Amino acid sequence: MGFKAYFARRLINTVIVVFVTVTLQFFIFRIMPGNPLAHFISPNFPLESRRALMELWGLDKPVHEQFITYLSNLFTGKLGISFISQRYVIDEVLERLPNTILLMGSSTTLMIVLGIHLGVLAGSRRGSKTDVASVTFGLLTQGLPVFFLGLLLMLTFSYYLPVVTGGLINFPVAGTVSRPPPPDLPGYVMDVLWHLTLPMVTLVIISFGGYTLIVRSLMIDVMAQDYILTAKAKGLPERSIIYGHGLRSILPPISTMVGLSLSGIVGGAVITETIFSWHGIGRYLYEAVLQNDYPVMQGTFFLLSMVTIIANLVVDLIYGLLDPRIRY
Amino acid sequence: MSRLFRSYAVLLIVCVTLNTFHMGVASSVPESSKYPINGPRLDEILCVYHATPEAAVAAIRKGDIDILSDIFRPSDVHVLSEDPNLNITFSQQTHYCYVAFNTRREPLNDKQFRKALAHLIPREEIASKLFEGIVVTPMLYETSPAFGRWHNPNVATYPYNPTRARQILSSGGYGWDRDGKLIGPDGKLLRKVSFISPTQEEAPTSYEIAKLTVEEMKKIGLDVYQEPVSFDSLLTRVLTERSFDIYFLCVSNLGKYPRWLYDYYHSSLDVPDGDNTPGVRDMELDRLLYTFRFESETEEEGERAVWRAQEVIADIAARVPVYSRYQIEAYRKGLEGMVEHRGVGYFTSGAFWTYLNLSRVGLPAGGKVKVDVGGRVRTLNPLYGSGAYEQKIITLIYDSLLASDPQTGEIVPYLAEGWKIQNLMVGKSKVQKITFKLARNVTWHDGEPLTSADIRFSMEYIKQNRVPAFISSIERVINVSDPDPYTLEVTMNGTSFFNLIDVGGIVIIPKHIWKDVSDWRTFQPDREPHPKVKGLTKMVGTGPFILAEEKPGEFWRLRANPNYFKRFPAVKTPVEGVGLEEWSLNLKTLSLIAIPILLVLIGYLMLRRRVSRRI
Repeated sequence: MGFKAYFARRLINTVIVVFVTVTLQFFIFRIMPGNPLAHFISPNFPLESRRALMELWGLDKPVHEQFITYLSNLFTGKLGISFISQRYVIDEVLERLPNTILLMGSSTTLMIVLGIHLGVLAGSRRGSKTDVASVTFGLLTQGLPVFFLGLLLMLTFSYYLPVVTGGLINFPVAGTVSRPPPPDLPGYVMDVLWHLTLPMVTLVIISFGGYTLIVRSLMIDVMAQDYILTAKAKGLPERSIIYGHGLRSILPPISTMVGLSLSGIVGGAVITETIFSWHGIGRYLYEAVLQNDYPVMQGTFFLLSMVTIIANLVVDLIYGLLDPRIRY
Repeated sequence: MSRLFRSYAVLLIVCVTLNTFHMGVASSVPESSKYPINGPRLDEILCVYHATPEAAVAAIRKGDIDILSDIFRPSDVHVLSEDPNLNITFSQQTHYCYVAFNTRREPLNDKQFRKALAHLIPREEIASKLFEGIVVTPMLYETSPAFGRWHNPNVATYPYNPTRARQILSSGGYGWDRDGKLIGPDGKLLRKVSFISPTQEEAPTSYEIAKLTVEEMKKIGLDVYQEPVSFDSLLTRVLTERSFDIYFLCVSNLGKYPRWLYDYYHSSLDVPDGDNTPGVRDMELDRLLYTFRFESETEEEGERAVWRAQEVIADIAARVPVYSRYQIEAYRKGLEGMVEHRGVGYFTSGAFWTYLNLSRVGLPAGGKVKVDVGGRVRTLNPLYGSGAYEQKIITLIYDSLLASDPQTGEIVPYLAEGWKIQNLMVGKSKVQKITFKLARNVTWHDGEPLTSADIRFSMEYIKQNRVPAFISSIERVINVSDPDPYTLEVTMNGTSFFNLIDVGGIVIIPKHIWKDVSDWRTFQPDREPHPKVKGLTKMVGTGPFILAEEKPGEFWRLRANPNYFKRFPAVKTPVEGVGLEEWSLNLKTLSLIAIPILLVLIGYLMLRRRVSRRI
């Protein structure tokens, strides 16, 4: 099968997956217990007000009409109107997306670089102190609950150390910028980086261990291969053997892992965003789930599933580039 | 690689050390101000958002914010009360948690049985064990003392008393078998009863309260079990399906008047999604509640009806109060002029007079404060934003026709300087004509004068669009007219004293902005620039503060309205310095110089390494 036929088949599969996902996303939230109205149980919202809300949200219409409205909202790009804020979901997503991409993008990049680097080092020097330290540290940090580490870092660097050091070390308690932010652009950029540090570090510490352990395991397998022995016999520098021969041959599985983590870059990190009051997609989605805000859940999950599906497609397509043995 | 990380660490340390730490301000003793109040005194209020209580508590202790409301964890109360830079306040609020019985089902349809169970709720143990005795107060009354004149203290109460519970059951014909299990008056064992509570993961204290109560019920021989379900399931089963025996739930922000009693106990609200979840159907209670809600022409008349209604409600024992949470608030020393609002507290949503009167000690006018907004601000659309957190901001930007005394709840003039009420008969119907006289010196934030046309527009707009948050307040309005720019006539169905309160409390929106709005639901006035005035948004009200800047999800900066019609007599003082922040900014700018230097250094080191390798 040639590349074009393979591409066409994968594309058709992708379209089917999108349709099934979109349909499931609509019905799953309606099967879930509870309805959005239940959150207006407050006596300040008497029955006539709740009924007016049902009309406003379109929940008084039959399910098939709601489904058609949902589909048209998805494909007109607005993704519907949030029950809770009455804003277009796409506007709310776009407002938060830069923050999430900044946090998740930077932490994922660092996590991948650090994880792969340590994994390669540990795998290529099996049994060494570096190996033992990497595995121990990787296992330890991967097992830490993110809320615990996040709160620990926040209280240490944003409260206790500022008090102890008289403000010499002082990270922000919350937010993506100071309140109010610096008026000048360079100051603003620095301010954002300052706010980014703790949540980013939290995510990196929690997540890099997974990469380290997997890459280490792959590297151990690869380093026992005959062609590595041949390379060593040829007298190639160790660095060239590890990175040029060893790492390159494990790139396909790594690229799958990286591809799957792309949806996380858009989807955000619920707990970390909450702990650091980070105005991102993860927290947005979490609040929407708590409040049964169907349009937000549907719209956001639609975006996330699209990113995942497309990332999978792209990863499949670039496999051939990474591994010359693969033929379509 | 490791060198790069070392460089990043150095860079971080530089950034960190270039930022300063702002500790507290001088202390003072709070003092209530006399009413009525002219304001605002402050130049600026900065409302900021923290997503977790840990962050909010750290922020106030650190000096990042001045005011924090809604403190509910005993550990936080301990920590904050020990901080020498903070004052902490406790206020009774109109909040309560209750156990409700489904009166449609046996054996809970028996009043005697419900009364016996009501005596089995260990309120003191709940308050002391689960809330360390400081966050909540055990509650015996449906309408708590926080309601002032509307609270009837002479009603049947059900303090924890298992012996009394057994006596009630015995006198009601109940008995016990050899194993100590309860037998009904018909001689048969009582069926198994479920007690729905939220799950331990979702609401640990509610779960524990249900557990403690279930244990007490088991002790008297009732075959009862706890059924933890997700919060959503609980609400659906209780509110919509009515498929429950007993449940536990809390409600807050009950308002100044016990109007919810109508929703909670009138038989017309025993419908799916109606609030009469226990299924109370009592003709006398229906009559009393209807009289209170729709027919009382004076507050005295309403008071008589609602006092009697409370006696009936207590006797029915369909809901049994368990506890009420205090409104606990903390503020940094150095603030004065805060006003206690009965049932609300000092600083939280609804504490309007505080923000009108608040100032820094020694600075009668000027200065700024940073306030934790409390939770997610979903929208600043004044017609849609009905949550407590957005109301905290919206009520400072938009005014209403009338206000209320923070202590007595008595209606007082605001945008309307005065009013006249006429009770009339139209055909066979009683109607009420309320004539408002508006203050003449009120302007919108953009300088346009406020006239009766704006108020007429607001009422008609709400009615035409069936705006959920206000529809129940405005639905009895038959006609609105504006004979002159400062007179407004509103004709309403019925002659209830709530008519004045209802129309006097709706938000007033500017006609010149809102008449061009195509869809009121999706209109976000804070995100659209004002068509004429540069620097303003369409978030135009007549209120004491103007929205000057916002970053949704982060902060909202409110600037004092210089033309406010109740402006505090101008005392020209400079805006209180934000010296430390400005200094921080300068240092951050300095750190920008450090970054290129570091980058050059890193580049140099990498280059040197590569060169040395080649050699």
